[in-house]
Amino acid sequence: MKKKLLLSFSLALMCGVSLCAGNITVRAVKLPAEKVFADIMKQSGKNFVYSAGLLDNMIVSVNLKDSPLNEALDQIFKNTDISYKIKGNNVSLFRDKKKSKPQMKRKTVSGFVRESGSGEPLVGAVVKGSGNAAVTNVMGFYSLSLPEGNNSLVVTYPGFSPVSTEKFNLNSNRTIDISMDPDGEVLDELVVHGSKNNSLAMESASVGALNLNKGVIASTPVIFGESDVIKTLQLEPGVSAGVEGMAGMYVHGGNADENLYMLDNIPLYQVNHVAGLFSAFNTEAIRNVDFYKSSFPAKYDGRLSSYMDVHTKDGSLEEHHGSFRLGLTSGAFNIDGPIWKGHTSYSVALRRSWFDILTIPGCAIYNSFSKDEKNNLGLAFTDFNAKVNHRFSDRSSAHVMFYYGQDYLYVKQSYDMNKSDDYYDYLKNHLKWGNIVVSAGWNYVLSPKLFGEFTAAYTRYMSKLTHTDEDGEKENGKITSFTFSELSSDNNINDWIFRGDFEWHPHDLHSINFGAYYTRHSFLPFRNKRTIASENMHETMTDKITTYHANEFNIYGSGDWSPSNNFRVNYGLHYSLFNIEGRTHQGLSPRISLKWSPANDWAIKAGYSKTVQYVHQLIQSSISLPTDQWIPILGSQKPQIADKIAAGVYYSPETSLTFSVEGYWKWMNNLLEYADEYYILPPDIAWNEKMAIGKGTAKGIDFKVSKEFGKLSGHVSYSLLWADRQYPDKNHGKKFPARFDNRHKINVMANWKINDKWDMNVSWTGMSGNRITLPTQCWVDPGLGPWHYDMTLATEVNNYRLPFYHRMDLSFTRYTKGGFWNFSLYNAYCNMNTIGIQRDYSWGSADIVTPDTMKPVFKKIKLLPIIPSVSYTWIF
Amino acid sequence: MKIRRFFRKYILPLILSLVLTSCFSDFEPDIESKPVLCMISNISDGDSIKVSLTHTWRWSEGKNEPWNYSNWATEGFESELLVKNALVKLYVNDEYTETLKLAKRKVYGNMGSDGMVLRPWEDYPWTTTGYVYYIAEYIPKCGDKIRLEAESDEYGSAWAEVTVPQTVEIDSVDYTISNFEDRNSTLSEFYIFDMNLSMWFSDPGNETNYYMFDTSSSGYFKGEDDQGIEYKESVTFRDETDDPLFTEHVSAIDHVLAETSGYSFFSDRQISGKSYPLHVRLEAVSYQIDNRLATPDMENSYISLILYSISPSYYRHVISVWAANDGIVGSLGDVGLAEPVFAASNVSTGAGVVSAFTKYEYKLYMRQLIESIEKESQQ
Repeated sequence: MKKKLLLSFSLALMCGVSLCAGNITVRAVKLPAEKVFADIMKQSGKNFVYSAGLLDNMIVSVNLKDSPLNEALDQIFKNTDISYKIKGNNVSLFRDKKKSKPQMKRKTVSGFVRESGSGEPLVGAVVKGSGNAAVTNVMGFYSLSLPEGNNSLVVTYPGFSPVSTEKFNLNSNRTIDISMDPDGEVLDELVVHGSKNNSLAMESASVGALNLNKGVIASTPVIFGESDVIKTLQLEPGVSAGVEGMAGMYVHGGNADENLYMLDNIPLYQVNHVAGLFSAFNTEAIRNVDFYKSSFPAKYDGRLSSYMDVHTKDGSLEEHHGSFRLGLTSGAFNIDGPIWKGHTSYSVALRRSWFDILTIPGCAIYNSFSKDEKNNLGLAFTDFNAKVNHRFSDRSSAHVMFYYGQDYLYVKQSYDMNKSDDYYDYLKNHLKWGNIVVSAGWNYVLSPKLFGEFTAAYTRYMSKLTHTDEDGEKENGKITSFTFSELSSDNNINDWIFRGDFEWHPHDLHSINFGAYYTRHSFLPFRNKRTIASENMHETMTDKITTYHANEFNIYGSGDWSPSNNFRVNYGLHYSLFNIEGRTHQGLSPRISLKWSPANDWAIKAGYSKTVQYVHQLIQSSISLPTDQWIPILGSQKPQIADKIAAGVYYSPETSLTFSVEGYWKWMNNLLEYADEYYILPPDIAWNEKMAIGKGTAKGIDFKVSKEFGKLSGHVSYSLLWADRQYPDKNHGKKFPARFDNRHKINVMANWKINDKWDMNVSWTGMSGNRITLPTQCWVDPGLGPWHYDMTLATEVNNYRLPFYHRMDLSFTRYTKGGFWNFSLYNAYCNMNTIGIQRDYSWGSADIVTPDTMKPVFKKIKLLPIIPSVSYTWIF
Repeated sequence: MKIRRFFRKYILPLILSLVLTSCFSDFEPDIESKPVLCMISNISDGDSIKVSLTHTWRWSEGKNEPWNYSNWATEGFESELLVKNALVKLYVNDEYTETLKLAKRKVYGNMGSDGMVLRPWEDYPWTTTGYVYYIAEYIPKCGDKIRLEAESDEYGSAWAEVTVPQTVEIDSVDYTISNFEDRNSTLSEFYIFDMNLSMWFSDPGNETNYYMFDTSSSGYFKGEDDQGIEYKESVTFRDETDDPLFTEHVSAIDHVLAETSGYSFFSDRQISGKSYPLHVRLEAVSYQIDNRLATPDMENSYISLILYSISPSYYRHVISVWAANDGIVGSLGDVGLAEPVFAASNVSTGAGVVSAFTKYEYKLYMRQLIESIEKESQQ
């Protein structure tokens, strides 16, 4: 066992008087042992040598004045299995088998950990008892098995004062609810014990798991200062961002539709706004986020690459809080508080963009130049989150959650020559797309060892695009002839979800999660309705596309077992059935991950996960368009499947500092992508006629060093990735690199708390460029149409890698009495990165054609420059 | 339609200029690429098969730029893209028919290196420049399956196949006239009006058929009548036809963000086996005779409505060019935000198109038209 040597020569010098006397004075009431020993070391000048973790969870109460060291140690270690040996200037502490008590009976302590005042559950709080620890679940629930007799609990959570309970006599199972206070004065060395991410790295068996709280998301500098959970995750190793500035996420060489985004356990389909510039998750409504990219809990299935579960705020049970933020692109308002103090709370968050407020005057100015022609354009997005939570008792609570997110774009043009002529033309385009979620949940502590959560939900994804065009002639204001055409396209998904999830702690070394859920899907792929009318005819043609109903049933079970202090296994199985159009597909997804700790500060892990995906998104571009429809597998299509192995090594010399190396290899089958030349087929043709079915692989290594707390915190990471695809109907059946096969990626993220008033955040990203398809050869125009262009010769897919990408973002936060200012700089040193290559002329236009002034060239398109932004958040 | 271009012309560039406050820098990508054979032939029934054989070139080499043709009118000029030493074979209905011969044609035209764009112009001296092609003696018929194979020592081989489509006739044409103006003077006749026409045709419905619609006029005519009186006639109009069938390849989002006008290609997907009235709108139709004393022939001046039956390779190519240049995915692909859209080719090398068409022309004779309008107005 590796020993930890604590040297305290400098401290000894500082305490010279006590050393001369040889006696010490100690007075402690329920203080952590490590804190007490720091003081003893200071006074005695002795070096203390002991195993890491020996003093963990030990609470000391002692009152000695000018006593010899051995007397003090005897009193402190009384009723423990720890002995000591004083040799020279060193004092060795060790576990004494002779002092160990015979195996005692154990009882269960369970309860909830909540924020005092608001009553918000604290997810991921670490509850430690005598030799055992538990981490709270999404509802803040914990269950801990402890030996009978006198016990106490120490609870830690990042940013909160640690809590030590009163000593209690445990002779039967009991419930202890704990409230924690946020406290900026907390000593870092104590706070770090509560890091969930350190706990995920060092204690859990999972590989590639991460927990983000609202603070981390809000402090990450992003474009337009609009904090964003997905853009925060883009800074993690193994996560590619896609196109610059967008809230894309490509995890471990996967596709954009292979991530399951959930809002309080309910899947969302539309996860971004404004073509992907912002994600659909309003940070003000978020409590915290769980993210899994390598080994997946058995609870999750349905996507191949990652799982992101966003937990929204419940609202305070004690008092009303809120904030109002005014930014350059949007404004946000949120408020939460009690409806019935101590029992019922609410939380409401609203965010809306400003873009349409800018376009209205813009169009008015444009329209003022023409009497006959009027143009109007509007673009906006809205998010609305609302939640009501009611606590029936210490064992029972329920909630109702509502989410509404929508993007809206309209273009109206009218050309009415009534004054000077009799011709008119009215054109209207209206696009609307978004998501609605309504869910109700009930949490019940069935027994101290069994926690249950029951949820019923309805989600609706909708995308409606309408184009109408009417032109004709008028005579004396009366329409004499006209043609009218309308094209409307609808794409909807309606899901009804019923689920039950349970957490069972049959033994202190073994916990089991299990559950089942049923989803009734109704998919309406894009259905086009075309109407053509004139003065003597009216025809409407509707695509023969009907709604596809699907039944999905999932059942899962997983166990987390620690047979010894240094070994842990998490195992599970997820079974799914997907029934559509009379065909039933099934998926069996085994999961296993193992952890072995050769020493207290080391962990070695390995895992295997299989995932199955029954729905996928048809994506035409690297930005998010309302035409990127979600569709189920149909006909002879098979579910997409991924097998992934992952392994990691973790080292944590101190609890705030974690080094990790994680490797993975992923095989993906039945992947779906648009086939070559799909764009020639009419837009309303059945999607499965446009698709290619293929496979892919991804492998890589993620390195990360993170320091989670202290004046300076953050992480540095490097990831190495190879990702490829192969489709018989694409690229002549040849293997090609994936678009976001960013071979090397480095991220640096740092948060510096300068003082009470100022925070500074900096992030730097450097990565190998994205892959693109760059045609180089041309052929002459065959002259078949009304144009004259040189044609491009199709080339191999993703044959060119864009130049190395790098960018630094900065943000400063200034706290004021009533809120805070945020000043940010996106791309602080203005390195305009290449996002694409264009074939163009050296002078940018082919209109002037002389060999001396112009020549055809390839041009790098460089996108975003430095973008400053400012926002103010008023807190009340 | 001009207002439809508003978004594309003003708003999209505005958005792009805001978002893509881009700077551009020229460079030469480090990718090897090899030229291949490009075979182009647009075959119609009753006309000899001509094949243009060129090779592809790297974009930055600029081999097809106009300055390369600044001396096109010089006797003997030839594009450097032409492949003249190839062996081109013709197979008809799966049987070898002949090897095509190299030919050179006197042309006038603002042509590309392929020389396929011919605009013969009266009174202009023809030259023996540019248009070098391979020609077959065989005259194709509707329904013929034509296969062309080409082989060059330098650029390898290429082949393509096409079937000459059946002609689809225009059944009838109904029209309404509006804004009719009689601007006759003592010396000349001049009429101007707008026309809405319903051009009925019946899709055979046997297989997927592809069409192209076009209009033309007899233009300018100079002659003398039976009594030897000289006169000049002219017909002009502006074709504003915008039938919904012409935008069947346009998705709802393309209607907002893309240019959709100017295309008159369509398939029978929505009208298979049915009779359909194509909505034609002709604006500012003008008919003029400079001498009122003359009695022009009834069939001198006319408006033609032309329905082309085109091969799938023709249709696929034009739709892909629309998608590449005007569709939203093509526009995004152009700036690296989507996969690029390539011009569709049915040639084995991916360069060129071997297409086929037949056409049916329906003529509206101007004198008959004017007479019937005047008769109707008198009633």
